[in-house]
Amino acid sequence: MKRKLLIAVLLVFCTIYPIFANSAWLTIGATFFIFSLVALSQDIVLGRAGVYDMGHAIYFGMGGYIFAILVTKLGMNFFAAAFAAVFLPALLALAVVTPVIHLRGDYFLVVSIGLNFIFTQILNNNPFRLTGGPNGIFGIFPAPFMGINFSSSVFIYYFAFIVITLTIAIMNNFDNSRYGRAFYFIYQDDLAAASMGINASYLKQIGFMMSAVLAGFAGVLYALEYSAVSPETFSVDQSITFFAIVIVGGQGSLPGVLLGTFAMFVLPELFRGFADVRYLIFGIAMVAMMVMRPRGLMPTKYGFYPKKLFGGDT
Amino acid sequence: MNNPPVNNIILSVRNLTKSFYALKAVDNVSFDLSEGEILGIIGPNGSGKTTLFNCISGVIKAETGQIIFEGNDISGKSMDIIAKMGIRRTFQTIRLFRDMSVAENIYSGFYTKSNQNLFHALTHSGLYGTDEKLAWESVKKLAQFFLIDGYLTYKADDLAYGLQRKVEIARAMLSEPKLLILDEPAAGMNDSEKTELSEMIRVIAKNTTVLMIEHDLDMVMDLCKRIIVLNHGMILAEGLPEEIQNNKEVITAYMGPDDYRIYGPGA
Repeated sequence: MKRKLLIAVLLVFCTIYPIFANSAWLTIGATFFIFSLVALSQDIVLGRAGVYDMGHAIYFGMGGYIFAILVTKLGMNFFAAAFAAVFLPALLALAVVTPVIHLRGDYFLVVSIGLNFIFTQILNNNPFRLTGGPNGIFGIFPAPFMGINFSSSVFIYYFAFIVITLTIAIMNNFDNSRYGRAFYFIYQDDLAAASMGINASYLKQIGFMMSAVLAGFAGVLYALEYSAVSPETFSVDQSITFFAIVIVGGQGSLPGVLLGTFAMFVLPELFRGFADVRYLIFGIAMVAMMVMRPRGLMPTKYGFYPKKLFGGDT
Repeated sequence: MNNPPVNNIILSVRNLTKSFYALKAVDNVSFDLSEGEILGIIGPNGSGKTTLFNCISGVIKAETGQIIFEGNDISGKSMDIIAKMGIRRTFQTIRLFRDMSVAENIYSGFYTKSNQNLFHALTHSGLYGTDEKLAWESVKKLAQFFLIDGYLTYKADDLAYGLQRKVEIARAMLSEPKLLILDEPAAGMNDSEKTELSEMIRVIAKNTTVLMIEHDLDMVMDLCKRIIVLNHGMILAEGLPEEIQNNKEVITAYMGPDDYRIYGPGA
């Protein structure tokens, strides 16, 4: 009951937020949604499938760059470009991840960092004059459609808000389904999961594709919001940040990951006055967090069961 | 005393060998398992019992030999495929999903029976509702059979050892397997729990073939009509409980040679 009330309050707050937020804060709001989307997509892979993926900015960047290239170089309309930018990363994720999916945690971690280095190298080298090299691509303004200006910050805010709300609802459904629980089983004990007939590699591939779709979507939103994309936004540094958000927030926990994103991206904006010292404070806070709450700010709550059948609370 | 019928062989292990470097953990083992049988495998520590089970369930691959399950060669197949074919197992070192509830643990057995596809799962549409209802109802039914329905909401890790064993068996049974492999199901249980478990296994065996490793010889002798004794990875003896009890080689393997027993080491 309390939870429903909190969700309602948050939804109302986010809906009326643009009325009183100035343009800087509107951007911060939209950016929070975009980074939350990437963090949630990272969480599918890390907190559910249990794969230590430290190259998640690849799929984020892929979405952003594909959208940018299709809009600026080919003059494609918004919908076609966004569609391609959301689904192509999923295909690439499948192709890249399939040969290495069986690797265990630490080995996969190294592979994914390597992949991220390759990705930023490609972007920096401007292949076929497509990616714009180290400066990236500027001026991503898709043509307006039926009077909708896709680049207005209010549109982007609400668009990102709708996407993140739907994503959370769908992920919540997923967690309470055959597949979502199978992910948790793999995460908890892969050998026992296999002995129950759960094919971990197959599910991890599905997880990666779902996750790449979300990250690709976030890339589109990012390209719209800043009307520019550049390699440094999708570097290993960024991947590490997303990885840390999930760990700090709580692996496999929707509210945890949102809280983690809030702490990593929005709180620093509140403390802008402290300038560079704020990252020192955040570094210390991260270390302290892991020592005191190793399972995250809001750890996953397992223990689901249908109340009607079993009775009792929770 | 009749030997169990040899027709309707569900599992046939042929010349199975698995070695870890120089040690032959399973050495040219062959046996057949008939449908509906409870076959016990006993042997001293390190005699290769668990390795044999790991080969059958696909945890590790044997070097040579065949494992035929219902006419299909399953040697070298991966664990999840073998599980889907109808072989479920428990582990000597309990492997529950520790942070999850007892109910969720048992639910995991439903995965292969479920009809939900990914779209149903994401949107809770289509078959999702009926499927989940069926799953949780069968979880409850099974928990009642194993007398653990009072613990369904507990975290698996918080349960006593004996109860965790039962949860593991319940989890394996939810998919209604054709062959249930139990690796020391009574380890860590007290006497009354063991008696209770024996009765449960007897009921399970009405519909399911059971292959079990157990160190509690009273329990094995009581439950199984046929027993295989492993020693140093080889089959030392095979037969009825009474035959095994009186087999000199078996006694030697378990207790050491006569002289040793009477006079102690160095005699």
